[in-house]
Amino acid sequence: MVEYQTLADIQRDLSTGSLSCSDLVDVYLARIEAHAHLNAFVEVYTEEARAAAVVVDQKIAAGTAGPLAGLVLGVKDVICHQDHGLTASSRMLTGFQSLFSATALERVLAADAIIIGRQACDEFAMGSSNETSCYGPVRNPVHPDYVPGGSSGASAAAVGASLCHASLGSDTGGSVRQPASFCGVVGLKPTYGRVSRWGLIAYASSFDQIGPITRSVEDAARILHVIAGPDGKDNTAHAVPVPDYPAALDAPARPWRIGYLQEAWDSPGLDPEIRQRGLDLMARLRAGGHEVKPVSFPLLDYVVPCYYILTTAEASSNLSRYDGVHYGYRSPQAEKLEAVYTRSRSEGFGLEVQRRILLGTFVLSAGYYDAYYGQAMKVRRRIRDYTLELLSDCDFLLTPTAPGTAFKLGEKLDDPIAMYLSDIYTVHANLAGIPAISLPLGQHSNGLPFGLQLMGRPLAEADLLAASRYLMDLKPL
Amino acid sequence: MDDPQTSAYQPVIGLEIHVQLSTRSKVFATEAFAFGGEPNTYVSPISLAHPGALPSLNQACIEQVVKLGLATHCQIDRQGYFARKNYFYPDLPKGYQLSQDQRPICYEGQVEVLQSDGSLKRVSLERIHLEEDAGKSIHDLDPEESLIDLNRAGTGLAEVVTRPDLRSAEEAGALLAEMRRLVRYIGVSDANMEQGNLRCDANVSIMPVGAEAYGTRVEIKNLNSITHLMRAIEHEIARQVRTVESGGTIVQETRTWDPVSQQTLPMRGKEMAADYRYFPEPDLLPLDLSEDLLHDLAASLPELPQARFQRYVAAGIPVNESFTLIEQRAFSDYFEALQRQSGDPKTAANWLLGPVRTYLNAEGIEIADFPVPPQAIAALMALVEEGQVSLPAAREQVFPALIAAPETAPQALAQRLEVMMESQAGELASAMAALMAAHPDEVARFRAGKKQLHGFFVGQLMRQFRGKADPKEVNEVVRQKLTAS
Repeated sequence: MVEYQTLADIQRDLSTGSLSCSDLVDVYLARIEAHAHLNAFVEVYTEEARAAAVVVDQKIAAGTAGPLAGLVLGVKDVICHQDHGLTASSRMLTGFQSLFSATALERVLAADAIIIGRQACDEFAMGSSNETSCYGPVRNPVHPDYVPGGSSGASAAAVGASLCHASLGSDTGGSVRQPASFCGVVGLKPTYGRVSRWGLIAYASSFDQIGPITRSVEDAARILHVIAGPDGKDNTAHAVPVPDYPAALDAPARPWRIGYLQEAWDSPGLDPEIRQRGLDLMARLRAGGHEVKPVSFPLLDYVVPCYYILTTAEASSNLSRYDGVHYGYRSPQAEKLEAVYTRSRSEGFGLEVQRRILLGTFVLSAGYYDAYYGQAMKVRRRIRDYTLELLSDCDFLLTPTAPGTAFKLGEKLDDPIAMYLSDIYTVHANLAGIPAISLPLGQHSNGLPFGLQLMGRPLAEADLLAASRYLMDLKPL
Repeated sequence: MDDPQTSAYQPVIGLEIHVQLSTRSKVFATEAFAFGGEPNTYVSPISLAHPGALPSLNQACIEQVVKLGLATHCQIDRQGYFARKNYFYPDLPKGYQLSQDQRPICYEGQVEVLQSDGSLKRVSLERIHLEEDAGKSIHDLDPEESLIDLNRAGTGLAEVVTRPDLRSAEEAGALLAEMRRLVRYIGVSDANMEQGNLRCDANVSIMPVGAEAYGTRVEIKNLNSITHLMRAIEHEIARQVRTVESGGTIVQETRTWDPVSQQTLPMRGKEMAADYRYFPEPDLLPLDLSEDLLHDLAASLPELPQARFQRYVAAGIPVNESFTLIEQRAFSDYFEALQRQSGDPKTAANWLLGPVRTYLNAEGIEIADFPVPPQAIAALMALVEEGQVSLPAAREQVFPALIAAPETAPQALAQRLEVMMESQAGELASAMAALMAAHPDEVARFRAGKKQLHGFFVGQLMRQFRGKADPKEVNEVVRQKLTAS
């Protein structure tokens, strides 16, 4: 089977009858099996996906199919799916089944997407390499010795290897975009509040967003169009109506004003080939009649510390519910209440999760709160205000997605600071709450792909996606 | 309490009052809640803290807290926000309680507390914030394990925090009674203390009389009746005085009241105090309460019990009776209707606190179940006022008949009972003339100044007419005839 680049291609073949959803599902099931070494899927819904394919094929024949008919989707193991397993790739939730479905998941199902399985991730979405999953590391589809990125590493790997056509991931500090960059696919993090978080396992509530991982900008637009929008179950979901993102892609390109963050491109940690690719792209944009200008972002050094203080603080509270009392893992050794807590949590959580809970508990503690959490809140406000100011003068901000290409399995596992710094370009958008996308624009001489990141104004996903498609279509000079 | 040791010290007391809001669903979850359900039946993925569940905000709870704030003259923070209070406990499934920290909805208010003598004591409120209740841990049902009921988890509580303005157990009791009355009047809570709708913690310290710096305070937790509150404070004051007098120092700690042994017992010391790691709740946006909403809520407030009390006292109703009249909203509302329809507050109070309350007590029922509507009692009052039925006949004959037949007009009942008094001026006048002729001595003595003999003639006439004469009319005839020369 040809590897379809867009859902539109799939739907064209479905409508002519040269392809059926049942065929499609079988192909993906076979590919999942053939790529089992990638370790991308925690669970494959073989029979359920086949049954759903039959139903969607009938709907297509009857002309009643929804907008995502023919989309075979993988879902990260942090998104609730009623009566399906849900573990956040943690021992803590082994065997847990969700009683309800995430709003985003309900919406893709209502639009006739077919969910083929549940994808591994870093435990509780905490990690940049998909190595902290309790199911073992996930491998990069381009080179199996390399990580796929994280935390939605398996979701990006699965799309990169065509084990499914697209995935729903989640992005707290780059967890959709960085693995998209490492696996050579498109990863979109919407504006905070654009997609309901109801049914998304919380890592850091004021940062988390569900986002699509796709092979094309067009599909990102189509999936976002379905999952975005107000939701009475999420108080932080924006009430603003959802524009027609797919239609916005066809709007005629206008001259954009694109700012590139000088500190990001001049950072000594940035791979020179990625930097060069960025410079090439800027030259082509200028040649295309767009304004490309340097902008200064002196707060770059603060984004990673600020991000890790605030997200670990929220995480320390969000993960308190996993206490061994009501559901999930309970240590068989524990009898007294105190031991139920300490043993269940020490045995149920992996080391990275424990590290972040301890860090977050510390920064919220009496006597340290002002110096850490309080200060980081102020810094976050400055970052957001400064970024919005930049975006009042530019339509978009252009940065690398990550400082380098995928690294080797185990390479950074024992060096959390090095691991955290790989998020330096992506956490910015989560701190500011703005939409950002990683576009697979680069091919490194080491054979691995890499992405470039475009950030836009709050709720301006339509513009961001239109510009993204323009960038993807830019011809070399 | 009157011993010289104790009177050398000034107690300083502040209360934290937890008011369970009477909304039909929980504050941060969508399921219904009612008191007394089977354990763990009023639950949902939200209150069970399942992965992926988010809090939702019940607007009715916000409005109730704002109403309480408006009724206690608080400032309202229209952009208040919620905070997480983090601690582990089995009846707290999230591992944190949604509460408010830096920006409570209401702050800087005051309550005028009606004391038993009718005077007012002003108590300042620091804040009123909205928080969720935890579930219940039950330790005494199973010999091996503790049981958890999460029905209550996520129900809305308003926490009212006073300044340390109270100076005695009596004042503290009066404040709690005032708050119970107030929340019932404005309809934000059932305030049944035995059901835990209203719970109270007390902060108690002592200082030498005349001192300005407060002593070290001790918090007494979970006082669930006004009596327990007052007893616990009295005993805690006595304990602190004993401690200081014997050369000891008060340590900052949390204690609990044991009603069986009638003493406060240590719960935990300051070094064991939890670090709750409050931080703003990221799952809920800050509030955005409009001016319009505040106006609407202010307009929806009923007349408060205290205003009624003042009005009753001004109308000449004694302080203790005014107290009784306002104690319950329904009783007071009945009185309001009765006095409005009768136009005579004092007599209305006499009827309500006399025959009506006697009947309610005898039957063991509330005013809501009293069958006779206020307009019927008002009509009966009018019959007495107009001299058509005597007061004793009205109370003892017509009133019971009215209870048995509340739909029937009191006048019809009086006629059926033959207690209607007709005007008998002519007959009375001739009977009086005959009486005066038969008792010339008494007439002469009256006219010589022995005015008590007025009663002699009234009694004679009443006897002749067997109580069917209107006493007022009889009095008038006697006065006229005796003074006419």
